[in-house]
Order: sequence, then C-alpha cells, then structure tokens
Amino acid sequence: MHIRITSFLLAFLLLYGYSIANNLPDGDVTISGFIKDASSGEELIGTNIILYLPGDDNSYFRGVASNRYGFYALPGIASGTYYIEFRNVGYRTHRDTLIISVSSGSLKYDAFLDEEDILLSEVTVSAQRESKAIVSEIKLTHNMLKSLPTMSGEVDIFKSLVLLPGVQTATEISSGLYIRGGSPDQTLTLVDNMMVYNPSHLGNFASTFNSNAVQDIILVKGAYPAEYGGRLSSVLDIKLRSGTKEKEKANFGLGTLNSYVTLEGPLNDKSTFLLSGRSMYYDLVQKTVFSDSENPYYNFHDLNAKFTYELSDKDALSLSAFYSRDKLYSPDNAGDLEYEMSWLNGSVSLNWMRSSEKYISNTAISYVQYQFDSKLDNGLQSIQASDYFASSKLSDVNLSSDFEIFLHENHKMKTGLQIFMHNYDLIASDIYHNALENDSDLRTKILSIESSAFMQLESQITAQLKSNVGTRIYYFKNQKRVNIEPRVSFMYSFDEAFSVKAAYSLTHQFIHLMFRNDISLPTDFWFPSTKEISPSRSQQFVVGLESELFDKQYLVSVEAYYRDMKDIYEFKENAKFSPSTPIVDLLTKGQGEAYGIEFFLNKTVGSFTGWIGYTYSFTRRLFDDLNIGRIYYPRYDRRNDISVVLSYKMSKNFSLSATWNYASGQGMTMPYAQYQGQKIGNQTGSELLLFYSERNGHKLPDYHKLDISASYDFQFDDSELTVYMSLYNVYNRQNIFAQFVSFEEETNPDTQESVTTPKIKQIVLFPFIPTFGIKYNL
Amino acid sequence: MKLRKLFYLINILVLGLIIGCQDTKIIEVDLPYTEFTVVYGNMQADTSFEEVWITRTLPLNQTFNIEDASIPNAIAYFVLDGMNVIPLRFSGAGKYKPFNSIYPEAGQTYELFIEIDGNRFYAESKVPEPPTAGRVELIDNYISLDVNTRANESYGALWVYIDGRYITQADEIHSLIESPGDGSVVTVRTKIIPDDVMDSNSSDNLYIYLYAFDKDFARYFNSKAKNSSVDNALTQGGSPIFTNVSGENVIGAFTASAKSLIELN
Repeated sequence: MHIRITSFLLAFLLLYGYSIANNLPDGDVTISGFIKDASSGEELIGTNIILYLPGDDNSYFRGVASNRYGFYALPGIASGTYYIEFRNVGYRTHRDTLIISVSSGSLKYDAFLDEEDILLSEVTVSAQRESKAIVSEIKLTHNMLKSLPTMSGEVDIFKSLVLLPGVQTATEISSGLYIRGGSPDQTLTLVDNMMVYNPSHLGNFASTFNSNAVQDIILVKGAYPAEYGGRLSSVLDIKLRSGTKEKEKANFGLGTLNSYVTLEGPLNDKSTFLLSGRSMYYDLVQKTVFSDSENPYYNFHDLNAKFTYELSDKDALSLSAFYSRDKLYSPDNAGDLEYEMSWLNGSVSLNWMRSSEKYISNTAISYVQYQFDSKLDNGLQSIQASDYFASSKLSDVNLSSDFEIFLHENHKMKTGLQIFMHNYDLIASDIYHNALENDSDLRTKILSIESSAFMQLESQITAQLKSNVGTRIYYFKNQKRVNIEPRVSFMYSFDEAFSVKAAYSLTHQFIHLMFRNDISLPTDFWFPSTKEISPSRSQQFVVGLESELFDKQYLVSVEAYYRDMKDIYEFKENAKFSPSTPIVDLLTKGQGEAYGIEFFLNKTVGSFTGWIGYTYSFTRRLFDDLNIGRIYYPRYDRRNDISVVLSYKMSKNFSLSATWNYASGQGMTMPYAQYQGQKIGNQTGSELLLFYSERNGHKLPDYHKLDISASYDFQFDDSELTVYMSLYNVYNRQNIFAQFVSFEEETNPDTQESVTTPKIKQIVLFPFIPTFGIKYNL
Repeated sequence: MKLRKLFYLINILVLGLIIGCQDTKIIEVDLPYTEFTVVYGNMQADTSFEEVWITRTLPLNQTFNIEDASIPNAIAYFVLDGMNVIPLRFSGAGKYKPFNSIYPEAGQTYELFIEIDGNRFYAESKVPEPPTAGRVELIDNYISLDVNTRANESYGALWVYIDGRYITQADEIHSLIESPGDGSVVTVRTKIIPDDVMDSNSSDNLYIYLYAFDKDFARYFNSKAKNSSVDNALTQGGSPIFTNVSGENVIGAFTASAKSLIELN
C-alpha cells in the first residue's frame, strides 16, 4: 500500500514540476499585505484579491484569497500599471490603481474594507466556498456565525456543527463530537493553535464555544491535510477574535439558563483586548424550580481572553487564554447512586506572527491543562458495578512553528514543526476516598513526548485540477519510533459549478480516550501511548462531488468515506479498577472501521437560508476481549441521521430559525430475558440471571426533535437590545435517554413469600422546554 | 420610566422560567423477546452427580417461575468416553436425573446430548485430575499457594475452617487462574479470611479447597462476572455469558471440576 502511495507521490512531483515550469512568473515583484475590517481592524479571511490588466476590457490577470490571518501575497508580478480589487461577502468592494515601477522587490498593500448590509447576500455554513483541494472541509467565518440559528440567545456553534452530515453526539448528556464514526479524542481541537482536549459543554442548551469570542472555525471531517496531525479522524480549528480597534465595546446577555458578557476594545493604537465570559446555571434553576427532578444537575462557566500587540509592520504578538469548567452532579433525590463529573480546560498561548512579502510565519508556545474527574458511589455497603472514581490530569507544553510560503499564486507551500510534552497524572478505582485525589503516591504519572514536522504543497496544477499533497513525520520518544504519514487530496472542476474531489490520509494518534461502556454519564479517561500501548493508526479514503445550482443559490454535495482504525483501546469488560493495578492491565486493544455516505443540500443566498443533511453510516469495533470477540457497534453508531436547519430573516429586526433532527436510536447493552442459572464450580444452588444482548446490541427508539427560536432587535434608551425566545423539543417528543432493569420486591399473595421481579424501565430527560432572555449591546 | 421597563423585562424572564417545564419520566416498557433453551450441568470428580437442568428463558417484567421455565419433554442422555450411554429422565422443576447414581472420575469425558421438539443440543466436558499444590502460605489474612498446572485447566481456591464437625468456608473463590499450558507453577489465593475466623481460632484448623476446572469453566466464570446487572437509570450492566452448549438459541454451561483439600501447615 505504501509503495503504491510513494509511486503516486513521485508521479505527482513530476506533474508538479511540469506545472511550475509552465507557470513561471512574469516578473519578480511580490504584492502582499493584510485585509482588515475598516472599523474593527479584524483580519478578513477569504477575501478575493484580483489583479486586472489596464485597458478597455480590464482583463483578469492574477488572483488569490487571503488566508486565516487576513494575509495575501501575489508573487511574480512584472512592472507596469494594474487595477487591484478586494472582494469579500458583506463588505464594500475596494478597488485601486497600482503602479509598479521596479522590476524586482516587494510592494506592501494593506486594504481596509467597509462593512455593508449582508441581508440579501449570503449566508450559511458553506457559503464561503473556496475552491481548495481539501475534502470534507466546513469553514465558518464570524459573519456566518452571526447568522446561524440561536438557542439561549447566542449562536450555538456546537449545535450547528452537530447538525452537519457526519457529525453526531452520543447521548443527550454526552460531551464531544463524534465525527465519521470516531470518538471525541479522534478529533483534533485547536483554539488559537492551542490543543484543547475536550472543550465541549453538554450539548443541549449552550454552545460549546462562546460565539462572541470566535473569529472563525474550520472543521475538516476527514482526510485532513498535513498541516494538522496527532488525531485519527478530524480537525476542529478555532481562531479567537482580536478585540476591535474601533472603540471599547460591551455586550452582555441575560437568560433563564445562562448569561454572558464580552468586553473588547483598543488599549492603544497598537494593541487590543478581548475578554469574554459565560456562566450557565441550569442547576440553580433545577434546585429552585424543579427540586423533584431526577435530571442530573449541570453548570459551567468559561472565559476567553486575547491580547494583541503590533510590534512592527511585520510582527505581531498575541496572548490567548481559554478556561472552562463543567460540572454534572446528582440531584438530591437521585436515589442510591450519587455521582459527580467535572472537567476543566485551561490553556494559555503566546503567538508571534511574522509576515514578509513572500511568507507568513507563526510561532507559538502554549501550556495546556486538562482534568476530567468521575465519581460514582452507589451508597451501598458492598462495592457495586457502578462504583467508580477516575481522574486524568494532563499538563502539556507545546512548541510549534510554521511557515506559509507563497511560491506562486498557483503554488503555496506550508511547512512547520511541533514538539509536545504531555504530563499525565492518572488514577482509577472501584471505590472513592479523599486520599485517591490527594495522595500523589497512589497516582500513575507518565511523561510522553512526541515531535513532528510537516510539509504540504497546495497547487493549481492545471485550470481544472487542484491538489494538496503533503507528508507528516512523527517521532514518538516513548517507543523511539518514527511514523510517516502521506496526505493527498485532489479536486477536478469540470466547470465553475461542478467538481469532484478525492483524498487519502494516514494518521496516528498518541493518546487514547476510554469510557465506561456500562455508564451513561460521561466518564472520560485519557491515557497516553507508552512502551506497552501502541499509537492508534487510521487510513481514510474520501470521494465526493459538489455542485452549485440555480445561479449558485444552492450547493449540493455528496461525499463517501471509508476509514479503518488499528490499535484502538477500550477498558476491559468488568475491569477491576484499583490504584494498585497498573492501568495498562485494564486496557484491551482492538480495531475498528467506519464508512458511510453524506448528502448535503445548502441554500446559500437570500433571507431564507438553511440546509438539509443526510448521513447513512456504519461504525464497528472488534476486540478479542470485548463482546466475546465478536464485532460490535459503539453506542453512537446510528445508521440514519437527518438534519434540517432553516433560518428566516423576516425583517432587519426579526429573525426566526428552526432545526429538526432525526437519528436512528443509539445502542445499549440490555437484557432480553431472565433465566435460572445453576451455581457451578465450587457453589451449589440456583441464581436468577439476565440474558443480555450483545454489547450495545439493543437499539433505543429513534430520536427526533424540533427546536424553534426567534429573536427581535430594538432600541431601548439609546441602546441596542435583543429579546429572544427558544422552544426546545417543540412537539414534546419523548426521546429515550436510557432503558434499564429495575428489580422490584413483591409479595406472592398465595405463599406470602417475597419475590423479585426484574422490570424494564426507560427514562426521558428533556421534554418541551421554553427559555427566554435578553441581550444588551453597549 | 427606565426602571418600569426593566421591571417588565425581569417579569418576562421569571415567567419564562416558570412556564419552562422540566421533567424526568420513568415508565415501564416491553423489550423484544426471543426464547432460548438453558442447559446447565456440573460434574465434580468423585462426587455423586445429581442432575442436568434443562429450562427455557422467560420474558422480563414477570416474576420468574421454575414451572413455567421447565421443559418436560426433552430427550437427554450422556455418552461416557464415547461408549456408554446414560439416559436422563425429567424429575420436575427443570431437572433431569440419571436413573442410577453417577460418580464421575478424573480423566473421563462426558458428552451431553439433548433433543427438544427436533432441535438438538450438544456439550462435552472432561473431568480434571485433583490438583496438587507446592508452597502454601498464610499472608496476613488470606492464603496463597502454588499450583502445579496441567493443560486446558484453570484453578481457584477457597479457605476452609474445619473444627471437628463444624465446617466454615468462603462463599466463593477469589479469582480464577488459567493454566499457561506449559506445566509451570501458578499462584492462586483465597478470599480474605474474616477476622472472627482468624482471631478466635488457631491456623491449625485452616485448610484450602483447591479446585481444578476444565478450560470452558474459566471462560464461563469470567464472562459471568461481567454479566452483573445494575439497578440504575444511568448505568447499564451486562455482557454475554460464555456458553459451551452448541445448538440454535441455547445458552448455559456444562463443566467439570475436581478438588483437593490442602492443609495450611
């Protein structure tokens, strides 16, 4: 397989050389600069920069798009007079005359674009369609984020991502994204180049990310390019906003479930700040109004901060910080089982960005701390199967540097290197005691070091054919092993409206996330690859087609994928958790595969926008030690998944949005029958046993739900206010969260003997819930 | 004026909070049910073999009744060492007994044949030799011992206190150790001996029942331990229990064991 891929890469390099030879630049002048919002000073991503030749017909000469930093470069321009044009959706087009009098050198041209009303011009998820040869990529810019459906008064980015084909959640109170059959650890999450382990809030009422603080989001669902690495499945790359340069601004919202505040502005003419925080207090509402509820109590708070400072025309420093803490715990009347799950993300990163006429570099050092604690106590004298305490504390130091080199308008190279040092501090036990949290001698400590380097070439080989070819090399110190990962993707455009894409990637992952399969609450436990635990490995193949219809008002795309997963880990069934038991002894190694097809219809233009997504997919696992060595399907394996997202801007002040989601029921391990078992071996007598389905072999009823939200903007004593209303689960669908066996004691009326009857029950967590709130802009 | 508007807004928020209904519903539900045949048999070397249990599964949401689970019309018999046929007869409550007493001996192979309404089931087990131990040691409050192994066997130990006619013993073995198959020695241990047994008696009265089981018992034992059910909405227990009975829609175990009484001192 690798030989074939290597041969293919060699053939590509020949073609690439031919392409460069036929596209030699006309001159040696490079025009470069940044594109920014004229009022806020924020970088504008995806701005088209077009160079025209002078003359009557103003014929097209060259063109590029600005990158994530708002930077562009047009190399190889000969001396002469040109017209340069900057176009970005939602901004007034900026045009200028450019006279180049030298034959070599560089010309810096920064452009500042004025915002204009975007009501009739766009918007939805893939409106920012760039003809890049990267498959399965979804890009959301800040303007797009503003137009997504809202719940709880703020744009719910997480919910919008989950409603895309191929992206799912496991249960109503699970955290993390399950993308194309991969568990949440298989998605690389970056916030301003900081690796974040699990930034997810439980996915019902609040957005995962504070939308006020987000500049843009890139989601690559599979076969991602070489610039990313360290995860098997997908990438979620989030860039935080720099504060506005315009003036100090404040924005806050007050809701029945959560509230938030954002402060931003210039510190002086070279620096800006942005502070944004949220608090979700669903547990207070539960305790106050719904004290009889058996729903888990839940709260979280998070904080985003970013400071930027322009050292010079070419150099900029930024300091980003991200903190979030979530807590899920048992209500007072939870019965015998008391539980508390909490997870904390803390990270800080210092970035130095340097730009020149032909390249832009980004160097960052970051410190990341992550902790996930699970405590379950059945409160009974004896240890029960559900008694559990686990804690994984991770402290990472990461150093990274990358360069984006603009060789030619049709050829861009990106290269870089990264070093990760992961410190793990872990414990898992069948019982909980304070000492387990505080006694460092009882905990397992592991240092894991990995380093990597990558190079990728993004090229327009011919007028129709584009490519992104690269490779990533890993050195994993703990096993002294080197891994090479080829990544290739191609796009062929038959015309402006129709293109086909294909991609292949090989990826490795050096950390592993395990869950208790028998507990419906989140029980994340992270463990690194060590001498005994191999890195996971995955190959992914993707093919797809994409077409724009009806004057580019609609976008249709179809993608099919297949991926295998080797050396993935789970907890052994009935693992005995104890500080004295090495954690590696509790793990079992297996393999998996996932495949499916995704359909996506997206209306991209007008006041009425939205999308319909459909996914038909399979994901399965095979472990010698699980399910008696038979293939099984993870809980989040859902055969069919349909999502409909509609957004209607009725007027400048009033907007309405609705989302409907349908998914095949999730899997559970459930008993189907009872029987009398004979105590054998050293024991005699009988015992009542339950006959269980295979692991996750029982499917819950299908899940579907409609949410509607509306918001109205108005003036209130010279301030801008927005009131909103969200209706969760409008038609009160009784979606089953879980089914379980309850053993009920009864007295036989004939014999007066006490008998136990196993009864199947099911629990519904979230029925119809309306929420209201208000937002205030200063 | 400002305060009045703010007051209205706060009222709207409070109203929204009260209108917002939040509820957890727990309701009974039926699951799909497929009937399985359940077969159990356990032979111990040099101990009278009593019965094979042949029953059926019953649906959940009802109290288990052995009469409902019984299958009285099965044809069942053993074949001993491939030669002697030993018929079994239904004796009520799901049990099938031999006409005459059977005393399985180490090294014998028993095959179990069952036919119910044209469906045939089969299981086989070989009676192990009584196990032998080398080192036996009381460590704090449990006993550890080294066992000489044979292929395709597994081993477990119970502490036993014998004082004249009174015998007290652990309710179950601590763990099951599978033979590595190369004739080497493995270490097994008992469960913790309760303080009242340790404190009030001399260790002279402590013994160990050392069990040798056939290979299939180890697989049954381990998978059954994973099968424990959990009475809670947020947890799910269970995994399939290993069965060594072949046939369609059948579960159960047909195993054999041998034990030795080992002195502590």
